[in-house]
Amino acid sequence: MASRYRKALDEFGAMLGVGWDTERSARLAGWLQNRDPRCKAVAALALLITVALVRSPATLAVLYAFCLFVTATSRLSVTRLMRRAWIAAAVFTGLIALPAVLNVFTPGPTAVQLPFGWAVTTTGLTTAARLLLRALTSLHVLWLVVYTTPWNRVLAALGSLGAPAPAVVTLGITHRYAFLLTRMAGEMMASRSARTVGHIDGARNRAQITNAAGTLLLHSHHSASAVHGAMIARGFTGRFRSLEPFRATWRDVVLVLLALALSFAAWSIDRHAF
Amino acid sequence: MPSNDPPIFRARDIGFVYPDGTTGLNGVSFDVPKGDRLALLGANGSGKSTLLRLLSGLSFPTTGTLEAFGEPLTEKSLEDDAFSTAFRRRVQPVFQDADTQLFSPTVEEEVAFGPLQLGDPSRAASAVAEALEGMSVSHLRERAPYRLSGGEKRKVAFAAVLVLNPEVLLLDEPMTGLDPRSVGALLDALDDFSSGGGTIVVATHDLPLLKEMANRAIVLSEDGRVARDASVDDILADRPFLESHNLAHIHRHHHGGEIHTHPHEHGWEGTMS
Repeated sequence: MASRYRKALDEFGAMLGVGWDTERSARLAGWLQNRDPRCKAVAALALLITVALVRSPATLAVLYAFCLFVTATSRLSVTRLMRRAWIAAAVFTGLIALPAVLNVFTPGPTAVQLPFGWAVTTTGLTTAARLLLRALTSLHVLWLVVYTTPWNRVLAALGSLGAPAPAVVTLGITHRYAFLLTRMAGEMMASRSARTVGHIDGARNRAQITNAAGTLLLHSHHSASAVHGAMIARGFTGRFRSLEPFRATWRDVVLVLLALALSFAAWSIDRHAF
Repeated sequence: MPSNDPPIFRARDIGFVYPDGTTGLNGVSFDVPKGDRLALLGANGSGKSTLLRLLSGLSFPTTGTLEAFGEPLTEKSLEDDAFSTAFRRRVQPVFQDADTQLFSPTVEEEVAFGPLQLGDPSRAASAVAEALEGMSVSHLRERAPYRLSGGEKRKVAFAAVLVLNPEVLLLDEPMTGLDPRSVGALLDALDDFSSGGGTIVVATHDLPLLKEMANRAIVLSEDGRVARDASVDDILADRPFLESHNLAHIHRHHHGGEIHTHPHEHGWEGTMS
């Protein structure tokens, strides 16, 4: 049981898509890696708004395919990013999307008849596909930015685009501690295993996990305060700065225009054709 | 000829009470003149780390007054950008937990953080390269700090503060958990810093290395008061005092194959009596 939790924690840490992995991929010589982070942020924002506005799964699928194409041109592993996005989307939207296919939640024409009067409806399938594709495409857009930009430059770009300093600082500290906390949770689990013989019944197991979660919460508060102190000591006043200055070229402008054009086209087609 | 410059730090009757009501420091007074190498000694919980946080301007005394470079070091004074920037440039802490100190995704960005915030950003890249080279960690430039070994983390933490060329280093247990080679490298770095006129305040339990790091020591008692402020030589020579303040220990020892247990002292110069 404990090893299953540990594996889940490791996978969660990897799924967060942060850390050295992203720093390494951000330094590859891909098309998106060479773009100005501010322009990438603007382009991503345009796409995210569009993903939230369009309703047709077909339009969302086209946007998702575009993201996969950009992934390939940026020397990132399409299959790895797809796998991570599917896992995350399944975890976070599967719980909502799966029941939505049933006639009890989404009435409509029957696609597949199930026992006891239950059925999968075409309307339900469309709703579930929309939810899933929205989650997949949104995650992929965000990861394209994170995987192709050194993290400090992401934060600096958000700051220079006028994102509120507390939000950027929170993002920075969350990024830093997501990995440490998952590692700490894994170590707590290992420590428990080392002192456990035999089977622990469900109630005790749940109580121990709840206690561990509480300890982690307290520790994360302490760690966040300590790391904020370390940042203050080195002159942090709420604004992240990047070692390399931002420099936008015509290619960066093309990226923004391309994202805006695609967003507008997707929104228009979705509005009139579906 | 005595200098008219104010001391780096002047503490007068400072006290500190934690949010849970526990007293951390009680009526502590001392001066830290420029170029001093001061060790803060004391048992666990005696307030050494708290005192370092106060000197770092990250916490503030509950009672008494604390001055840095002749100016009051208070929450209000640090709200002034000019004073805050000047203070942070001059005084840099190295925390006990390197994982707390290192918060950037790569070593290079970690070391660049200070110069980008406090220095001239156009000179940051060259200063970072120099600091990494100085601590022999250039090869770690693109690594994530949290994936480094303990010794590497500590070297990067030192590089991240030395890059700012501070006048004062505040070190909290800097040698804990390091292998001999890492200890040697950090002692060399401290010696270079001190030889260049830098001031060091170090909280430590490490009596065997005390002479290498400090020439003066303040011993804090377990109730957070100053028990003694004297030269390192004087304090190390007074074994009963060290034992009474939980800085030296007597414990049982097994000799060879004999089942022979008796109280045994560990000396602080690497010898065993």
